[in-house]
Amino acid sequence: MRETELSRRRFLELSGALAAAGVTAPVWLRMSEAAALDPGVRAVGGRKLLVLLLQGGNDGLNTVVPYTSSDYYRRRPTLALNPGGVLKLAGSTEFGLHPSLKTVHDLYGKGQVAIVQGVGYDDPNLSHFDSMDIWQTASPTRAVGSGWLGRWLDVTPEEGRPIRAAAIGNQLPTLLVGGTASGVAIPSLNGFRFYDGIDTTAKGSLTETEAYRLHQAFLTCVSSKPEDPAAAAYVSAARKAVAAVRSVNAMSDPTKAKAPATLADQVAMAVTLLSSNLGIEIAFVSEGSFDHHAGQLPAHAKLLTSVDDAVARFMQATAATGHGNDYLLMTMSEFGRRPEENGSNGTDHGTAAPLFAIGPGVKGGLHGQQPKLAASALDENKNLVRAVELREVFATVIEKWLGRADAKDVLKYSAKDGIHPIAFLR
Amino acid sequence: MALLTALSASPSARTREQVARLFHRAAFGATVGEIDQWAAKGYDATVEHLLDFGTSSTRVDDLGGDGLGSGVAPIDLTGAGDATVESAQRWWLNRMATTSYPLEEKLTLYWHGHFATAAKKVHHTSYLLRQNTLLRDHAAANFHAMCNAITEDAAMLLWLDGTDNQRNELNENYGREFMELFTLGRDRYSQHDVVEAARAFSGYRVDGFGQVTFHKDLHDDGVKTFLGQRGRWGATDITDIVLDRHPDGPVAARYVARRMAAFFHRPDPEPALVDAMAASFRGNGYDIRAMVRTLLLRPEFITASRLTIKSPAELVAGAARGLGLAGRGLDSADLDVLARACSEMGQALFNPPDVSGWKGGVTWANTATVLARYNFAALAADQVRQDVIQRVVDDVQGVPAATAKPWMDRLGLLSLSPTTEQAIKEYVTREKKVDDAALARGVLTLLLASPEFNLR
Repeated sequence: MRETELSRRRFLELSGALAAAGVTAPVWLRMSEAAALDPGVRAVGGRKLLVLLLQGGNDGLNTVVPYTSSDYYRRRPTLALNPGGVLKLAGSTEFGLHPSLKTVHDLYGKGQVAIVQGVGYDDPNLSHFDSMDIWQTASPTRAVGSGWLGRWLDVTPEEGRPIRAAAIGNQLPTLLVGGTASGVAIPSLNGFRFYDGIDTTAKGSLTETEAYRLHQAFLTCVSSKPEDPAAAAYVSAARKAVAAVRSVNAMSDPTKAKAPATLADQVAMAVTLLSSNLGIEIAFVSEGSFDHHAGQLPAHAKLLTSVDDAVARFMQATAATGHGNDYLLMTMSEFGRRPEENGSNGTDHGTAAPLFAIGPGVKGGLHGQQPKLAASALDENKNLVRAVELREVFATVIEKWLGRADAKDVLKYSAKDGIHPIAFLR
Repeated sequence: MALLTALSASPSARTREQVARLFHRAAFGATVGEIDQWAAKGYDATVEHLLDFGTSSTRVDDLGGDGLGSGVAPIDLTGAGDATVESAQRWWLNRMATTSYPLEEKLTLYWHGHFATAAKKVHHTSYLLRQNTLLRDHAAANFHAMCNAITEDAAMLLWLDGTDNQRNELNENYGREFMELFTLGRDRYSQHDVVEAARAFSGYRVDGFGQVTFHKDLHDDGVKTFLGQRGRWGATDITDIVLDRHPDGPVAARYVARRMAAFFHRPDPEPALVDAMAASFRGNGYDIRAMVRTLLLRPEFITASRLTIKSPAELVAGAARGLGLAGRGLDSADLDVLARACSEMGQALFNPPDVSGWKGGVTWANTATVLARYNFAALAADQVRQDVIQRVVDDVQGVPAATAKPWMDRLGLLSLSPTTEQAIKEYVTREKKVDDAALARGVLTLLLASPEFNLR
C-alpha cells in the first residue's frame, strides 16, 4: 500500500523521518518474544532448508515422465508428453523431465538434483485437505495438530535465534507449527512493517517515536497469558509479530525491498531471510494450484516454468551468499494425479509421486522407485501404489540435513513401522 | 478475559454480557446503547430480532441492488459489465457494516466459506456476485433447495469443473467436494460414489453471459449405484440420497451443524450442541433458520466458556459499523482501506484459499495477520472523522485515558482486561508530544487491536 492512500487525514511517521535515537527497552518489555533485538544474536551459519509446496496435487507422471512406458501413452491419449520433447535424464533410459524444467534438467546433469520417485503413504486419501495434512504433519494414520518441521523446532535448541522458520505469505502452514515452537509468516520484506511508523533503525535499535510508544503499549495490551486457547493464540502471535517486524525491519530497508511478484521472487526473499543474521533455518514458499482437473497441458507447463525459474533463482541467490553448500530445496505436493486422464483433458486426484531435492548437498540421480503403471499394479481406485513412505524422505532430511534430532522422535515412528531413510543426501 | 469474568454478576448484568456477546457473534457488533436497549427486552427477544429477516432479493429495501437502498458502490448484478473483485469486496464489506439484517449477512459470510468459490479461477466477478445473492437468499431458508441451487450455479460450475463434466467425459471435482465439503464430510462415501455422483451431475454448460443450461445429450442418464442405491439418478437425486437416504442415517445434518457451530460458536463445538442443532435441522426439513435458532438459544452457546478469534470480515465490518467508516457518502478509497485490510488479515472475500474455505479458529492469528490487524487498527483510527474525534475529546475534558469509554461504547465493549487498561494508561502517560485528538486516536488504535475486540 502507498502511504498516500493510507494516511488520508493524519501524517504518519515514515522510516525516513525517524530520528535515530536508540533507546533501551523498558523492563516490562523484556519478555522472551520481544527479545528480537538482542545484540547477542550473531550471523548464523549452518544448514538451511527451503520447502517448496506444489499446492493442489502435482501430476507426477507429467513431471518425471516415464517416456518409454506403453501404459503411460495408453492411459493418456491427449495428455502424454511426446518422447521427443521430454528432457531425458542422464543415466536413465526410462525417465525424462517435463520440457518446462530446463534448469532442473541442467542441474540434474551436474549431480545437484535428487529425484525421489513413488513417494506417498499407505491407504491414500484422495481429499486435498486430508492428504495435505498428512504431508505436513507426517502422520498418515491419525490426525495430529503439529507439522513435522514444527516438531523439529520443538526438540532442537533455539540458540538465541529470534526467528527459526519463516513462511513467505500471510498464512502459516501446519508444517511449521510445532507443539511449543512455531515459525512466522512474512508476506513481503517491505509490507512487513507498521503502517503508522517504523520504530527500528537499520542497526536494530528502537527509536522512541509516537508510533514506538503505541507499539510498546500494544505489547502491554497483549502481555497477558490467558488460559483460553484462542486468546492465547492471539496474544502470542501479536507479541511474535512485533518482535519479528522489528527484526526484519532492522535487517534490510523495508522501503526499498520490492514485494515478491513471482514464485522466484518469493524464493529470493526466502534466501534473503535464510542468509540474514536472524538465524532462520527453514523457509517455506508455495505455488499453485496444480489441481488440473481440466485443460491440464498449458496450465501445468506454465506452473512448472514458474517452478523452474524459482529453482534457477534459488541456485543463483544461494551461490551469491558465498555459502551455497548450506542450502537445500525440497519440493512436496499433497498427491500426484490419476494415471488415466479424465474426460476434460485433465486428471483427477491420485496418490504417489516424485519429489525433488536440489542443491550441492544432494546425491544426484534417481532414488526410490517409479510405481508400475500396469492395470494389475494399480490400487482399487486405479491409482499408483507408493514405493517410498513419505517419512522415509523426511527422516533423511532430519538426520542427514537439519540434524540435532532423532528422526524417530520427530516423525513418531518405531521399528515396526518399517521406515528406512532414503539415501538421497550426502 | 473481561468477557468471561463478569458473568457471575447480577442477572441483568449477566443478560447484558450475554446480549453483547450475541451481537459480536451473530451480528457485526452493536453499540453499548443498542446492547442495553436489547438487554432490557431479554436475550431470547434479541435472538428473534436477529432472526427476523425475509428473503433479501424480494425485500423492498434490497431492490436497489446494493442492499442499502442507496447508491453506495453500485454494482451491476445482471452480469452485463464485469466488476473487479476489489469493488465486490468493498461492496460486501460496506453491506456487512451497514445492513439492518446483520445475521443474514453473517450467515451469507458463513455460506461463502461453506460453498467456497474463488475469483482466481472463476474470473467473472458478476457470476460470483450472483452466487452471493443465491447464498443470501438461501441464508436462513432451506438447505436442500440451496444444495440444488448451488449445483446449477454458474460460478460453482466453473470453479469445480462442472462444465467439463459430461457423459463419457467425466470430471470428479464437483461430485467429490459436494460430498466431502458441502454435505457429508469425509469417510461417508467411496471413490465409486464420487464417480457415480459425477455421472449424475453431468450435462451442465455455462454460456458467455453466465447463463446455465442443461443438455440432455451431455448428461449420463444411465443406471448408477450411488451410496448403495440403484437408479437413473440425476443431480437432484444425489441431493435427496445424500440428505435423506444415506445408509449411515442423517449424517449430513450433523456435518453441516458442526461446521456452522464451529463458525459461530467454537472450533470444537460440544457434541450435545451439534446433536441438538442437527435434530432441529433435520426435524424441520433442513430449515436453516430453525437450526440457527437452536444454536443461539442453547446454553452451551449463551454461556460459552471459550472465545473465538473474529474473522477478518467480522472485525473490519464491526469496526466500520461502530466508527462510521462505511455507509453512504464514502468514496471507494475509504472503503478500499477496509477491503485491503481484510485481505491482508487473510480473508480476501470472493477469493477463499481453496474449496474448503477459510480454516478459521486459531489459524487467523499468525505474525503476518496479527500485524495486519494492528495496522488496520491504526488506519481505522486514522479514518475516523475529525468531528467524531472532537466530540470524544470534548467529552473527556483533558483526561485522555478517559477516551477509552466513548470508544468502547461505539465498539460494544462492556469492559476491558487489566492489561488493556494498563496499556492505555502507559500510552497516555508516556506520550507527551501529541495533542488530545492524536491521543484519542492512539487509544482507539489500542482498543481495535486489543484481544477484547479481536475475540468474541
